[in-house]
Amino acid sequence: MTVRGGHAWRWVTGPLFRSYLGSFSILWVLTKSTLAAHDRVTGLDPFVFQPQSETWACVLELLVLTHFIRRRGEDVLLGNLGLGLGSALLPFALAHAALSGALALLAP
Amino acid sequence: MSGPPVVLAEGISLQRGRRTILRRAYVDAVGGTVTGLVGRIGAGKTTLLRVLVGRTRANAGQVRWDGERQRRPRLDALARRGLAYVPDHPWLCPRLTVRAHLELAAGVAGRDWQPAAAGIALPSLGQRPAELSTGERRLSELAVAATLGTRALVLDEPFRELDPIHRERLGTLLRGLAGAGCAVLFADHDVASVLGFADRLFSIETGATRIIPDFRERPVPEWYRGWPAR
Repeated sequence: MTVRGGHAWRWVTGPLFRSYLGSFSILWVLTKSTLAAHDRVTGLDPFVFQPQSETWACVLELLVLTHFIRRRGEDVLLGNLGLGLGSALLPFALAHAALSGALALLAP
Repeated sequence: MSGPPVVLAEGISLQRGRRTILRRAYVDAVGGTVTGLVGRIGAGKTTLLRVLVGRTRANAGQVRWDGERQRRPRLDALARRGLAYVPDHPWLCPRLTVRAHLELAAGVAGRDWQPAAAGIALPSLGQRPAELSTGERRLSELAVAATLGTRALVLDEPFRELDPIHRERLGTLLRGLAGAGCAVLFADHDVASVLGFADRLFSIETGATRIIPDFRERPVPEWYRGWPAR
């Protein structure tokens, strides 16, 4: 089973993905905190899953992650591993939805 | 030694603003050979390699893999078919050790990473790229790419920043990969590297390429330093 062969499993269980996941988690906490602060000011429930806000937050997180990956030349590493930026970053969009959804369910 | 090219770029033209970077340029990599692309700084070597591996879009021309035209060539798509690319800037993940990169590459390519690492006497497997000297980092990048590039290996200035011993080891590694059937293509402005390791040679000047079939027999100034400015 290889990434080159198009198998996503090796990518999401590999060390490179895990290293990005750490950075992405920090980004998610930052954007979620900002969203929650904004919602609190405007009188909304800060932990409710609002699809439009979550989409914008997710896009922002992915743009920041893309910027850092490109700045460090790691898009070449991903490319050499047979991964385009889009397919490499897709699991992070799912991670965003899962984290925000879990928070909405678990929050008081 | 020669056969159909594994990968080629032909008729490549590229304009940036009013500056012409490439003029109907051609370069290819043939399995079992080491091909050099020699040219002065600013001649268009890096840009041509970037077009070849799908990192830069050209205004005209095409890239072919095994004779098949690639409509929108992309590095990841070519890599899935066995190409690896070494740019002239750092590209390894600073948070992973060299060993982790090699293991990742070996898993992807389905081959052992030890021969490439041993071939260039790679030091510091347990360190991260940021902890290495420039030359050590370069060697690590080359070992990762050599592990990944099962069919074609495209390298931009691979000998830069290497000491003579490691230059020799890298050259031997590239020749060994070519001996195993890989198509190796490297760009360099250093004639010594080309003469030392290339079987075939393209030269590039002001964005235009030409093949130099008898570069070993002819004096170097005839095909490189002596070119008149156009």
